[in-house]
Amino acid sequence: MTTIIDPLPASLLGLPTELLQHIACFLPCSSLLSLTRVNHKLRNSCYQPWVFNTIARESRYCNGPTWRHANVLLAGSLHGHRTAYAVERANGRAEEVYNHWTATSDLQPGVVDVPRDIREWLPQLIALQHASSLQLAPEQMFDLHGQLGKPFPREDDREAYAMFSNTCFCMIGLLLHRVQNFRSSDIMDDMILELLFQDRPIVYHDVFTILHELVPKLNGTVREVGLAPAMTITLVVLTAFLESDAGDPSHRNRPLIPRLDRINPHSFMIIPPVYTGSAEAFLTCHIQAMRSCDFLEGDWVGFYTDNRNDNTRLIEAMTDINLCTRDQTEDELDLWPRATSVIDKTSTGRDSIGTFTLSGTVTPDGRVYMVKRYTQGWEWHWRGSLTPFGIVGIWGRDEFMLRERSAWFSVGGYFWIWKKEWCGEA
Amino acid sequence: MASASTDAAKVIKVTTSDGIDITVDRQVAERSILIKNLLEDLGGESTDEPIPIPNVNEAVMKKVLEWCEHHKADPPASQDDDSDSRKKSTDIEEWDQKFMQVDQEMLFEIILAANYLDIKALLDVGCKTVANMIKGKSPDEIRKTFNIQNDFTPEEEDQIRRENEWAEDR
Repeated sequence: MTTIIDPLPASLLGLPTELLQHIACFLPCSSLLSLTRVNHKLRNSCYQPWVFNTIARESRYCNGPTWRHANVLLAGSLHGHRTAYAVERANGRAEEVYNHWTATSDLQPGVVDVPRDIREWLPQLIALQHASSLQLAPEQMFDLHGQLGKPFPREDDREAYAMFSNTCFCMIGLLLHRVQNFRSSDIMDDMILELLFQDRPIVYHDVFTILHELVPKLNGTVREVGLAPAMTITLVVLTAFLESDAGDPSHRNRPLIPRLDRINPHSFMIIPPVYTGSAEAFLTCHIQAMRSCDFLEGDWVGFYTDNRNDNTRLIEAMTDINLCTRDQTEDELDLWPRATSVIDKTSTGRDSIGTFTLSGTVTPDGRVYMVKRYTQGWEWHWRGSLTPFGIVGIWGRDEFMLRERSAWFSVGGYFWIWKKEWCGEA
Repeated sequence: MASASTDAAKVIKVTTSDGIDITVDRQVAERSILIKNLLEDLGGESTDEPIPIPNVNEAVMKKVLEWCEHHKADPPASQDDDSDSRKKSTDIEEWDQKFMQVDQEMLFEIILAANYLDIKALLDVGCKTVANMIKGKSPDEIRKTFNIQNDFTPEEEDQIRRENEWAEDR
């Protein structure tokens, strides 16, 4: 052994840079952040964007899933370390024992303290279909949804409005993901709901009550439906649909609800980086693309609920909706804000009542106003918003009250339409 | 293709950096892509001549060959890309875990040897072992584990801490 030439024993710092980096790629992000605080050599070798990107994409440290859509956040960005950290949190959450997320701070009673997961990364990872984030259960957020919704956030309180709406986004995304996976498996149909809502059967059996309670509150007062109400309507209507006869897969006129992997949210959402306080940016990141004529034009399907009588559990499919769009004309510039997209009156559709035409506008901030006019003659007004899951809102009509000489918007129920290409197989 | 040279010797010799000749089954030695390529370049020619491995000493070479012997029947690493075939195994199998229970110096020698000899699977096992020693530790604990001096100034440490503030949980 006296012939050994190496003057120094092999050590971590004696490894060449590429081997240090190779080791770093097997670490979770938090450990890499620690490693790169040890000394200069380790920092210079391992605090590299591509190392963080590899960790974010592959989660080697825990045999995690390879993330197909990682590049949306990683390509050309300086946020690899933040993305890798979000992925580590997601992998951790997926491993956790099931628990309920709540918003009330232990330290300061009454202070709404939204979990950082929702604030900083979960909406993004669900939109980009990271497998670990999709393992979370929508029921886990039900309490949080309730807390954030009481009182219902005002639209000018952007922070609270975004937290509420983004929580809805997570729950809807998770619900759609779960339904799409059940649908493609051989699990017996009547077991689906039990499995979907195993945790909170009572709460979810009450969704029709919630819908009915909402209607009188909305009656008369609603001039428009903003994004957060539209999101919560989507959540409640989707749940009601899954609970209803129409949600029974054997139902003949069952509309096909959209699949998360067909929506591919990032194909039209401009997804903001994680851990950059971008909750408010996420809130509206779907609008710019969705409000365009290019996006709106084409085939849509959906359903509406009829909540005019108590105890009605009517969910009706609308099929063969074809939206024809155009830019606003010079004459219309005075009527609507600039850059409003027009749903032309040549747009058509069909439901169990008959065929109808649609016409209306989509404003730059994502508000949707439409008139649904049956060929038999009568019409309903739609007021809604663009959400990442389609166009969602309420339907009803103005009733003129002679004595008060004012109009009163009488709500009939909810509607939700989405692009036809979002249905079907993956 | 190696299998084409049917007359190829079943055993070969390597010479380590400290001048020791080691005889080893060709199949075992060919876990090393470096040795495999060398043998292929020699073609069907006699391989009586020992292959010099100037970067690896006897003790390390024996350890590496012990690993190759145990893994000689493993399917070869795919050539197309180094990413997919090897990354799905952060859990180190039991035998490898025991194999890696060596002092730090030997561990890093094995990593360097696996890198030089181009044995990807062994390199990964070694790197994962080091990664597991780092995982969950604070910078100070990592320094203690690997006997590393902190060469940051207090100002630098402060700056890095501020840069990482976004990652502090709740």
